[in-house]
Amino acid sequence: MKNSYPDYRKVRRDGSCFYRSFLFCLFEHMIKKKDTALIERMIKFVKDSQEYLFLAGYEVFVIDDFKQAMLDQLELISKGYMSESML
Amino acid sequence: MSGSAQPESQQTNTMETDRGLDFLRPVRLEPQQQKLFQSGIKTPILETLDYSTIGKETIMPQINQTPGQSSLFGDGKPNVNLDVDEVRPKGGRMSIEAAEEEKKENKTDDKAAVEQAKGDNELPKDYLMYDTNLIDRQNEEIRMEIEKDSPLISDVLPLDMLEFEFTGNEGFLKKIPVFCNLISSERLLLISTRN
Repeated sequence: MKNSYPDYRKVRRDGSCFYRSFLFCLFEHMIKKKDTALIERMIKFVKDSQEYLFLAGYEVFVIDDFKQAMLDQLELISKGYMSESML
Repeated sequence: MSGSAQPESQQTNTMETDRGLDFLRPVRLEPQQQKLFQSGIKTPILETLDYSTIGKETIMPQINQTPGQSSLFGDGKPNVNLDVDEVRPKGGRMSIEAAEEEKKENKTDDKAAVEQAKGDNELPKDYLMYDTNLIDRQNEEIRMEIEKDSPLISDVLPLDMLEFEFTGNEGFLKKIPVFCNLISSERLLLISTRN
C-alpha cells in the first residue's frame, strides 16, 4: 500500500469533501504536470457545461458564478500564474 | 407544441454528435405520438365519458360482492353492478336530540381545554425566550472547534500517520459483514478511513 499511496491528505468531512478532494487533486495534477492538453480540455468542458446544466433545468444565474470562478482558476493555471502553494 | 418540440430534439442531436454522449439521445416519438403532439394532447376518455355511470362505478362496489367470491377483482373484472339507491345510507340525518347531546359533550371538552391552557400560560415559556446571538455564537464556537481539528485540506502527511477509522471499535464491523468485505480492498480502505 505504501508503494501505491506513500502519503495522504486529510479533508474536512463536511459534505463537500469528495468534490473538494477531486478538484484539488485535478488542479494539483494540472499544475505539477503542466498538462496543457488537459487544461484546454477542462476549460472547454466547463464552458460547455453551462449548456448541459441549463438543459437539465438549472437557471443560468445559478451556474454562472461558479463557472466563472472555475474558468478564472483554469486560466491562471494555463498561463502558469498558479503555483502549488496557491492551492 | 410541435414548433417547440422539434428544435429541442435538433439541439440535443447536435450535442450528442459533438460530445459522443448517449444519455442526451433525443426521444423518438412513434407516429401516433407525433400526431398527438401536432394536434395537441387530448383526453378522449374524458370527452366521451358518460357521466351518468360515474356514481354507480365509484360508490363502494364491494356491496354487491357475493359470499363465495374471494375478491372483487379476482376475475379480472370489477363488480360494479349495483343500485345507487340501495347503497345510499337511509335516515342519513342525525336526530336533533343526539345532536344536542353531542354539542353539550363538546362544550365540556372545550372548558377543560381552556382551563388547561390557562394553567399552561402560568408556566414560563423558555422556548420563546431564545437568543439568536447566543445560537450564532455557539455555532461559531462549534465551527472553530471543527476547523481546528480538521483543515479543509491538510498538508501532505506520511502514510504512517493514517489511522484506521474503527481502531478500538473493530467489533462494530462484525455487525456489517458486507462492509467488512468491502474494506478488505486497499482502495476502499483509504476511502473508509478518517480523513
